[in-house]
Parts: sequence; structure tokens; C-alpha cells
Amino acid sequence: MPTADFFPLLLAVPLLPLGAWLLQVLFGSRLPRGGDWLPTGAMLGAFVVAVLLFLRAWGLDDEYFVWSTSATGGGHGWKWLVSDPAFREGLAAFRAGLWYDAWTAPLLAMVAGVSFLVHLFSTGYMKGNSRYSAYFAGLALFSFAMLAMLVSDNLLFVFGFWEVMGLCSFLLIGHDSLDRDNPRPRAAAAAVKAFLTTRVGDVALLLGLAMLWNGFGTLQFHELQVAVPEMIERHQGWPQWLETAGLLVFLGAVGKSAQFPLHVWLPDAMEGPTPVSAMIHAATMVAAGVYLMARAFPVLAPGVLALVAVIGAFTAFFAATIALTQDDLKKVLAYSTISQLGYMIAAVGMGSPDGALFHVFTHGLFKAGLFLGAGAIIHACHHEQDLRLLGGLRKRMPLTYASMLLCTASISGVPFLSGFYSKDAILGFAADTWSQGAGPAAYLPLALLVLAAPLTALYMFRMFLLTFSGEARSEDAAQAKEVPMPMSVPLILLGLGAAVGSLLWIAQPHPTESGHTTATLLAGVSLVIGLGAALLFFQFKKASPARASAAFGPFTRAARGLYGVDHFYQAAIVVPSKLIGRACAGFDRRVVDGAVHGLGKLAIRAGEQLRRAQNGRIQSYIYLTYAGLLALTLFAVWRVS
Amino acid sequence: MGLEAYLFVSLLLFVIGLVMAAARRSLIYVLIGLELILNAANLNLVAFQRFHPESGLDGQIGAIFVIILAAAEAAIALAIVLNVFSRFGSIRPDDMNTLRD
Amino acid sequence: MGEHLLSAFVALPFVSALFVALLPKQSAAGQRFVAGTTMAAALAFLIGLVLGGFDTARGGLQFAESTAWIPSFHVNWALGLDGLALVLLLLSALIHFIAVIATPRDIAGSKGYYALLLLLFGGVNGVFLATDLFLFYVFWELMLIPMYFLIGIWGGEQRKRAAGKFILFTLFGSVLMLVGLVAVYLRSGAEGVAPTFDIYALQSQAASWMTDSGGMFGMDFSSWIFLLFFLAFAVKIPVVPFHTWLPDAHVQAPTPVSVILAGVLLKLGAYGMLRVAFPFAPDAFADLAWLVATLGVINIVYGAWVALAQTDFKRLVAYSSISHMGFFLLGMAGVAVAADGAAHFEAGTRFNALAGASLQLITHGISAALMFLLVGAVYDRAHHRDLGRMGGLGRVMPRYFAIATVGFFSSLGLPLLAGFVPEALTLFGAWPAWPMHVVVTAFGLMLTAVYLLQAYRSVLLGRTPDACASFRDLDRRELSTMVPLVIASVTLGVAPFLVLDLMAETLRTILAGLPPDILPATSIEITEGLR
Repeated sequence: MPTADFFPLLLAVPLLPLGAWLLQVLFGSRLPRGGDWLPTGAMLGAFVVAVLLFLRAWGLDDEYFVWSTSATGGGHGWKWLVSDPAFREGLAAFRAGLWYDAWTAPLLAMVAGVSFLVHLFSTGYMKGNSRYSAYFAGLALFSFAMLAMLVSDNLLFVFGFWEVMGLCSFLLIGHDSLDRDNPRPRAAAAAVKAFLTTRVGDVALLLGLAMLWNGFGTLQFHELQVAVPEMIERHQGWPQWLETAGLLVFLGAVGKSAQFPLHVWLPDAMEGPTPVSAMIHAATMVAAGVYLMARAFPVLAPGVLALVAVIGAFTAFFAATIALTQDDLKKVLAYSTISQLGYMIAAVGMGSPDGALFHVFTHGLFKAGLFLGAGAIIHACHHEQDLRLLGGLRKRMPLTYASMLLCTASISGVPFLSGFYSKDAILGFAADTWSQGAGPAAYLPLALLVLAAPLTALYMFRMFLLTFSGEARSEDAAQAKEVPMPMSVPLILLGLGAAVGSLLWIAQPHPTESGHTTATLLAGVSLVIGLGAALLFFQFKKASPARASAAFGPFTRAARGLYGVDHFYQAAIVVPSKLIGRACAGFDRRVVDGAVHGLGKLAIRAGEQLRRAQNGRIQSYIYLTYAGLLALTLFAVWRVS
Repeated sequence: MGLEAYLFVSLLLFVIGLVMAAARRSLIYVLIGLELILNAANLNLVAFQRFHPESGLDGQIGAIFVIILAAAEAAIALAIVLNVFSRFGSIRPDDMNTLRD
Repeated sequence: MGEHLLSAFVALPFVSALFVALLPKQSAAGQRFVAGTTMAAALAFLIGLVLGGFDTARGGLQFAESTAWIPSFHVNWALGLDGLALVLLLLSALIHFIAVIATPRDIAGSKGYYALLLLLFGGVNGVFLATDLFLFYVFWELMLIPMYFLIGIWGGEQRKRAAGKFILFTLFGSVLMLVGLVAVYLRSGAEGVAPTFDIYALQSQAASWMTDSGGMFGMDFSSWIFLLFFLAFAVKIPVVPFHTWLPDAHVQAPTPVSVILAGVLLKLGAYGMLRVAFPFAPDAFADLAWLVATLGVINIVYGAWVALAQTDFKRLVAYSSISHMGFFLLGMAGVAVAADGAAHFEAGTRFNALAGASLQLITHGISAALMFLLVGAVYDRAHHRDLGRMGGLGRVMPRYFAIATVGFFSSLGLPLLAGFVPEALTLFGAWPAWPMHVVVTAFGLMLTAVYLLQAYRSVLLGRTPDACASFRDLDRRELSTMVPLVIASVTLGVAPFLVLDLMAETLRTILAGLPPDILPATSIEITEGLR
């Protein structure tokens, strides 16, 4: 265990954007330039600190290292519920701390770096936006939450910051719905959809945490790592509740990382400004689900892992087929993100959280590069993002072209670029699992992942070639100009990152090492198939894409219709729950409140009936009086006898 | 002749008085009915005293008390009847229902 | 003075009310000043107690005092302060202070209004501090009357109807409480000792009522006491199906009164349950915990579902109050039952449940008050509350946008804001005993997000209708009402120990007074990790 104290620097990483956010909310609109330099500067600071930490950790030890406040005696813990250290009932015993290990180190640097670049890019992209300061406040708060999540040492705080990210995602997706000049009401709908869909997973995750806490009395990573094997040993197997808990935790990741069947929110989230898509919906927040799965890996039972692998691999394939049919630049990237996240989730499911996080790391770099490139294109083409109307941008935007080429090649798995290594790690692990004879449960994910690999190359190069090669197919594309200074820097840097970023990960020792000839072979063949097909269709025009898609007739139509998942949810969940809500409200008004009013009316009616006796005639009173007397007498006689 | 005979007469008086008070269509008869009821009670008081001499003169005194009260009541009630007649132009109880709700 | 500190505190608002009543009619500013100063002084006094004077390491009563009041019925003027009461008093003082500021300066008939507000404040303080059941009842009734007039005189178009409904429902509860109160008084004297109204003496006697056969209609005495008091307080919380007075009262009440109603008065029902209904009948409470849990879940899910269909902004928030108060019941059900097994976990789970239930009172008080202020701010501008005719306020009112985001998401239970802490604690605490209830509750959490975000979207996002385009942003007065609540919400979300430190020992004491039913090992297979 390294003795160096990471505490102050580690705390500074999330606190810098937090402070920037606070200042931005309070004074942002009154500062020069809308205060954009405040979060941007803070992110630069956070990035520098994260790199410093990374270097310090790198030089520290050549074994897989872990540093945490909780594991090193808890001098700095945050006693959250009751501050008295002697008070240890329930969650009062819970103490939150910081955590820094070989997974956190590169991810923290990657997230801080990408966030900084997105901030920088946004200063150009969002120029003139009517809610410029609010936008930067949202970005800063998001960066804080993501960084804080990465340095948390327990599942409860991971969940907490995870939810705050959800809020920021919600606000930023909906950002354009409040634009002064060009409001997009659909952005508001997309924001709500994104939050609610992920909320399904979040609630499940919270239940999972409740089960874990009641089972183990802790939510700290390092304590769970010890407690779970003990529990299994005591039980001689995985207790059923623990399997359920693992499943619930996985559901949380399904929502956040947009896995089937909760993937529907991510394509809609593209309504947000493109830098937001780059940061939140590609590089960082959606990868949080994978991060959670990696951290919660000890509590995932084998049965759950099998399901995780199948869901992840299925999502990877399923989303790739949809990406192939999309004509919107950002939608292609969105489905590509879903597909890549599927790879990562599948990696966790097959038992390689390390491979998954490696892919999170490289994917963060090249997908952010792709989205920022898309942002540059959209910016240059006056918000035209239909692939059918772009084209020929290679000469007009050479810098963007170069950056996106690197990123596209990287995601497609061109050898010696970042994506190649991380995908290789995953496929290698999958092949490994299979070759060890793990049965059909391991065979299915491998098959799906291998099928998805050439599709990835195909849809990515389809998008790339339709955008950059050939002739401009619209006025906007024909008049595009390369983006100016603050936006071009992030493109260059992310392009470089996409090329060589993986070195940073590989440089550090990790619990599982990767590299497989089978996998490399598989990846190479996939790349050749996918890239070849893309070139044939879209560069040399030797084959007609229309005829190819016609050959897959019903399949294409289904993919274009997103396999009906959205429609299904609309019909099976949204509409019925609204109807039930209306029925409940009607029930409340008519039956529950009606009963109360009915009781009131009954009293009034009864009074109306009784007042008839009050007719003012003395003689009828006399009758009544004696009738009452008689009744009382009879009653008395009956009681006595 | 036992107590029952007195009680029987008293009961008869009471019922006659009750029916008069409740059913007659003139306030005068109603008042007479009330007097009969009071007298039925008086008869009971006197009779009980007669057959339970150990109770002293309480019954007799009670009866005298009731007679005095009845006289006062008759005086006031007749005055009220006069007022009622001058106000409603009738002494039929049915014509007076201003106390109804 | 020292031994009558609490008496002085309780008396303060009543004296101020008298003072306001003596002020000349036209000096509205003076009346406002007196009312505001009184609330602020009370708040300052309580903060002073927190900083020094109140011993958080003690779970029992502090500053207790008792003077004979009606000796022939053993009624005492008895007051005492413990952690739970202290925290609720702080909330009440803050909310009342905000309500005074939130009152429009030109409110008609200001003299009566401020005097009633002070009376209400005094009544609420009395309920929280009374340790004599009779005194508790007197303050309870005392507080209903000002509320009736505040709704009935300063309310909306159908104010009389709403006020009438409010008073009838609460009187129904009061009558039940009166019956229960007489019953326990008489029962306490049955063993040849002097009967008593002392709440804590009655609590310690309650254990001997468990085996008592002096019931009626096949139910033992303990169950009768439980049902009487539970129903009495259920009206106030409110528990479905006794809730329909609440939306009507909220919709008709003026904003500051709504703020008090949601922020403080609903908590009194829960406080009554914690102090009286449950500890007076711990046995029946444990037996009937399934009922408490089920009612809680019905509150959560049903309230959320009805809220989903509301088009009136204020009604929606009112139903969200009903939904949120269900967490109190669910948490209490988690207190009533413990799993058989390791003592550490058992105590921990029940502590979580109780901390969740009692913290929910505070956090809901904060976020509901904030929500009603937000509704009021829109109503002041639009003069209607129809969600369908609003939109895009985030564009024209950026400050409102920021504060509303905190309000909505605090209500939704977003971590780092107040609402999350009790929700998580309740789920954690109720899970071992009531797994199915917790699963349904999780579904309710989904619905909560749905209706809140729907409302958020229709108020703040999207196109701005022309009618809303000229709305001015929040002014200084409105900000000064909302910002303290925003700060409170964030502080509680980040550092809940600030509040729980004050009441943790008290919660321990309460737990000790509520011996749980031990679940047989077989019925909790799903949480076998407990063993």
C-alpha cells in the first residue's frame, strides 16, 4: 500500500469545477464573456492535477496499486449521517472517503481532459447562445459530479453523483428548448425521456444498494471485496438475494449506459448541444454504468454475469445494425455509442472489468473526438446534420477531416490505434472464455461481438465517407469553412488521443493483461470486411447501398423503425400509466372525496327528514312525547323482566 | 277496595286527559285535558299515601302542591289562550305553527 | 427564568399576538414587523439552544418543567424538549418566519392575519413541547382554529368550503384523540394509583397494557388505543383515504398558509404518532405494522399516480405531499419489525428506518415549502395555476429557473439535495422487513419522477406563451423566502449529520421504547445476509 497522501490533490480535482460552478451560478451572467473562462480554467486546473496524480501514481509502484481513505485508516472520512464517530447504528456507521487506484488514475485524467476540451470547444460552438452562462454552469456541475464519482470509495456516493450527472444531463439536453432565437421543444421532451428512462435503472440500483447494505453492512469497495467471498464461503455458493442484488445493480448500469432495453433515451438525447453529446452522452456519463459494473464486480454472481454478457453483446450488435440505417450524423454516433457501451458491458459480463474500463478510456477519447468533429461540421454547415445533404468536406475542413479520420479508424479497430488495443482486449477475453469451454452462455456473446465488429467499421466509414468524400450535396455543405481557433485545438488533441491514448493505460500495471492472437486475427478480419464494404459502397460506388439494404428488406425496415422499441414503450407503458393516473384521479375525486361529500350530504338529508317532525303543532309534540315515554317504559320493563 | 281500583281510575283519567290534550280541536279542551292529567297524578299521590301510611303526609302535601300549581297554570294558560285568540283569530291548535322550523 | 425557559418560549407568540391585536388597525407594517420579529426571535433562541445549552448526548427530555394546572384531573402544565422536538421546532420557526415574509405587504385585514399566524405558531410550539397529553390536546385544538380562519378568510374563491372541510376532517381526528386520551387516563389509574396524563409516564405504563384484557368487541385495550390515536393522527398526515381535505385546503389557502400547512402542520400528525400512537401501544403497533406499511405504500404510489393526472400546479404539489408523507409510515413500519439475527444489523436497520421516517418530516417540510412558494410565485404573475397554459418560464425568469430546479429535484429525491437522504434511509431500513412494500415504493419513486418532470417541463421548458413572456423575475422579497430553503435543502443533502446529530440520541430512546416484532427466520429468506 503506497504511503503517499493523495488526499488534498484528489479532493481538488472535483472541487475545482464545483467552485467554478458556484461562482458561475451566482455571478456568471455578469462576468465578462459570460464567465466561460471560469469553468474552462477550473477544468484545465483539474486536468493538470489529475495528470499530476497520474504521474505520481505511475512512478510510485510497479504493482497494481490502490489508495483510499477508508483502507488507510480513515483519517479523512466524511461521516455522513451522524458525525459522532462512536455512533455506529445503521448508516450512521457509514463513512465516505476517497479512492484512487489503477482504474481511477487514467479515467480521472481522461474525464478531466475531455471535459476541459469540451469546455474549450464550447466557447466557440456556443458563442452567441442566449443562455451561455447557464450552459457553462451545467457543464461545470456535470464535470464535478463525474469526477467526484470517480474518486468515491463507496457505492452510495457513486450512486449520489451518478444521479447528479443525470440532472445535469437533463438540464443540458433541454438547454436548447429555452433558446431565445430558435427554441426546440423537442429538446424538452428528450430531456424528460432521458431522465425518466435512466431513472428506471437508478431506482433499481437504489434497491440493489439497500439489499447490499442489509446484507453486508457496508457499501465500501474494499470492504465488499472482502465480505462477498466470505459470504459465499459461508453459504457454499451465491445466496439468492445476492444474485438479485447484483441484477438490480446491473439494471442501474443498463439505464445509465443505455443498454437494451433501456437504450431509447440516448439517441433522443442528441437534441442537446453537440459538445454536451460529446462529453456526457459519449465520453463520460454513459460510461459511468460500465464503471459501476467494474466497481461492483465482486457482488455480481456468475448467473448475473452471464446475463450481463448477453445483454451487452446483444446491445453491441443490435445498436450497430440501427447505426447502419441512420441518416442523421449525430444519430449514427449515438447508436455507435450504444454499441460500444455494449462491448464494455459484455466485457464485464465475461469477467474482464479491466478490459471494459480500458475501452471506456479509449472510447472516451475517440468518441469525444468524433462528436466534437460532428459539432464542428454542424457548426460549419449551419446546423445541417443530415448525411444525405453533406459530403465533400475533406477539402473544406481538412483539420476536422484528419481528426475524424483518426477517430473513425480508432473506433473501427485499425491496428496500433487506441481502439484497436481496447477492443482487442475485450475480444481476446471473449475468445479466451470461449476456448476454456464455458459453454453456450459464453458462445453467444462472443458470436454477437464478432458480428458487431465489421458492422462497426462499416457504419463508421459510411458516416465518414458520406460526410467527407464526394461532392457537397447541399448549399450549406458547399459553403462550409474550417472551424476557428478555440474549436480546432480540441479536435487536434482528441485526434491524437484517439491514436496513441491507449499507451497511457497500457503503461500502468493492471490486474489482467490482454493481447491475443485469435482476437487480433478476428479484429483484423472484421476491419477488412467492414472497411472494404464501406469503401465499395461509398467511396468507389461499386455497389449500391440501396440494393444492399433492399436485399435485407424486412431487416432494414425493422432497423429503420428502431425495432419498434420506442413504439412499444409508448403503447405499453406511457399511455397506460397516463390512463391509470387519470383513473386514479377520477377515483380520488368521485369515490374517496365522493364518499366524504356523500357522508356530508347524508347528514344534511337526515336533518331534512328529521325537521319534518318539527311542525310547530303542540298536539303532535304531545303524541311524540308520550310515544317516547311509552317506549322508555317498555324498555325498562323488558330490562327488568 | 284495593290500591288497584284507585290506580285504574287514575289511569282512566290520565288516558282521557291525554286524548283530550292531544286530539281536541280547541285549546280550552286541551287545557281541560291537562287538568285531568294532573288530577290523575293527584289521585295516584293520595292513593299511594293512603296505602303506605309509613310515608307520612308527603303524598297529600304533593297533591295540594299540584292543585295550587294547576290553578296558577290554568290562570296563565287561559290568559295565553286569550292572547292567542286576539292574535290568530282562532283557538284551534292546528292554526298555530309559527314555532315550526 | 431558567426553569421556565420553555414556558417563556411557548408564551412568546401568544404575547405577540396580543400585542398585534392591540396595535392600531392601519399600521400593517408594524404588525408585520412584530410577527416577523417574534418568529425570528424564536428561531434565534432555538439556534442558540443548538449551539449551547442543548445536550445532544442525551436522549431524554431537557429543560423539562411541570406545574399543576387542573389538579383534580391530574393535568399539568408540563413541557420538555428533546432532539426530535428541537429539530421540528427549528423547522417550524423557519417556515413561519418565511411565511411572514412571503405574505404580501398589502394583505387585507392584516391585523387579524398576523395575530392568527402568531397564534398558530404558538399552538404548534406547544404541541411539540407538551409532555402532558391533555396539554398536548389543548395546543392541538388551539392550532386548528387559526388555520381555519386563515384559509376561510384569506383564501381563494371556494375558501369557506375548503376551510369547512379542513376543520371537519381535523375535528373528526380530534374527537378520536379525545376518546383515546380519556381511555388512557382512566386506564392509568386502574391499578389503584393516581391516574396521569403525563406522556412519558403513560409510555412506560404502556408495556403493562399489552396483556390487558380490558378491551371491547374482541380487541384488546392496546389495539383500541392504537387505532384511536392512529386514526386521529392519520387525518393530519394525511393518510389515504383521509386525505381529500388537503388538496382542497392547499388550493384555496393563500401561499404563506400553504407553506405552513405543508411545511409544518402535516408533520404534527407524524409527531403525534411518534410520541403517542406508537409508544402507547407498542404491542399493537408491532402487530399492525403490516397495516402501517401498506398504508404508507398506498400513500406513496396512489398519491403519485393521482398527482400525475393533475393539471392544477398547486393540486399536483399537494398530492406530492401526500405521496411523500407515505415514507414516514413506511419507515415506521420498518421500526416495528426486526429480523431475527445479528444484533448489530437489527439495531442498524431499525435505526435507518426511524432516522428515515423522522428526517422525512424535516426534508419534506423544506422541499414542500419551497414548492408551494414556487407555485405561489407563478400564481402571482399568471393569476392561474393551469399547467397547460404555462411554459418556458426558464427563459424569462432565470432566477426562478435555478431555484425551481432545486425545488423540483429536491422533491424528486436527487442525491445531494435534502429529499434523497430520508428516502434512501427508509428504503434501506424497511427492506428486510417489508421487501415487497419496498419494491412497490420503488415503483412509486418512478412515478414521482414522472409527475414532477412533467410539471417541470410544462412550467419551465418549451415555448413561452405570450401571456407569460412579460413575467418579471423573482424580486428580492421572493428570493429572501426561497433562498434559505434552497440552502437548507443543499446543506441537508450534503451533510445530513447537521440535523441527525441533534436527534440521534433521541431516536435511540424512541427505538428503545418500541420493542420490535422479531420476524421468524424463514420469512426473510431474501435478506438472509442479516444472519
